[in-house]
Amino acid sequence: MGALKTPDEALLRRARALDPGALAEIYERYLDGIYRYVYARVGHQADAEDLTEQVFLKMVDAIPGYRSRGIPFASWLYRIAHNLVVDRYRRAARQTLELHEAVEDRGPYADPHGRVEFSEQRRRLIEAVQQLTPDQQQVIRLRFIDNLEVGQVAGLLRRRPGAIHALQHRALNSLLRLLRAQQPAEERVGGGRRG
Amino acid sequence: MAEMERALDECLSALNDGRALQDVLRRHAGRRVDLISLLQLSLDLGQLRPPAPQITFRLRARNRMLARAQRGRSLPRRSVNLARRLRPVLVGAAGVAAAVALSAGGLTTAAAGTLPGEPLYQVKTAVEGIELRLTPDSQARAQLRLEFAQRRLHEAQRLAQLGRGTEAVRLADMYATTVSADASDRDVEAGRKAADEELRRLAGTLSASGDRQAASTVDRARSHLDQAMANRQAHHGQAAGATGGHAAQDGGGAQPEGAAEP
Repeated sequence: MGALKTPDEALLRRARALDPGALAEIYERYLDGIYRYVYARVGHQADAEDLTEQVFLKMVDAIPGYRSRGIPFASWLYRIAHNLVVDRYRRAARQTLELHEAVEDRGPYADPHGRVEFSEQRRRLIEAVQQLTPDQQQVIRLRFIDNLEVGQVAGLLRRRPGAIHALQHRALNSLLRLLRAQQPAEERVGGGRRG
Repeated sequence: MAEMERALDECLSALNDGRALQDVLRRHAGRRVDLISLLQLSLDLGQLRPPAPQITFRLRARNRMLARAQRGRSLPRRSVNLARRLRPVLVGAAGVAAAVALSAGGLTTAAAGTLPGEPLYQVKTAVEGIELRLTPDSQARAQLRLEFAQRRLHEAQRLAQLGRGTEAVRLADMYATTVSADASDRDVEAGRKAADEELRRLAGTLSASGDRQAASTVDRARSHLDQAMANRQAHHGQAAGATGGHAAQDGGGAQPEGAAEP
């Protein structure tokens, strides 16, 4: 899966001094993840670009005072992104996007191949995720769509890693049950490869 | 941690680190089928990941971040404190200097008609930033922001005519956000109609140029703006009723709260 690795302490120390090389390295490491995190929640490219840019500007403003205190750097950065997304919705008096809207609504910028490949399997997957509990949905999105590590999810949600482990296990099992209940017997996951 | 949770976690870690799964699965042979199903599902979920950012955005945002860092480096903490204390004096002096520069500024004149991506465009936006910082009155500042937002919309129109729909939509979105946040109670209705008309025209231009998806995005921004302005109007109506017609003047109702905790 290649989840995001936490920057080492030396890199963070340079970043705190606003060293351009260190900031650029952190930017390259986190840009795709932050952009996708925002995109999946705001639903179109222009908003995602605007908010992602703001995340990194706020990071520059705040990083001189950043101290880990046991919270992974990624959790801190994603918390900035989370707050900006929430703030944008508050300003626009909108509700948070559901997963299906975020994925389907790629606006005018969608890759046409991606849209063609938006198959029945994916639709079923989204529907199944939406039937999970809010906690399970959140962990599934952060772990397997946003690709964060357990410790990073725990830091972001301010929960213990053990709770995230248990939640992801329950969520995956529930999801599997829901998908199996939706599919014809011959296509079932584990019985034969889908799609 | 339960045995199955531990096994799943080991498998996910192996996947994450790019290690072979065989060893882990061999250790949990009795749960192999279930584990493979869960792992396959975790990979399937990755298909729901949105697209990566475009290269133009990647570079633009990187440059802006580094420019912000450079400004931060040029102002050591002690200087920041000093600057805060001297701010009224500095603002006055800078105002005089900027007025001279702006009135005599051939550079800013040349920058006036530029579009995003052109060399002098940053000069134009930088001058706007200076003008905003030098305007102490909050209402005048809001007025200025609206004026600059209007410029963004005109730029969006020109970009749309050039077939640069993506950038046009971005500027239209900035315009809609500023208008919904900054319109004062007095001009809500007028601002709403003007903004609606401007965005409708932009959507028409985009649609005529064949970019129907960009046009529909602008239409969506229009309806969001319309909703935000209607909410705002209702809010001001209630405030005026509660205070005998003396509603708050600063246009702050739609201002965001502090965004990031860190």
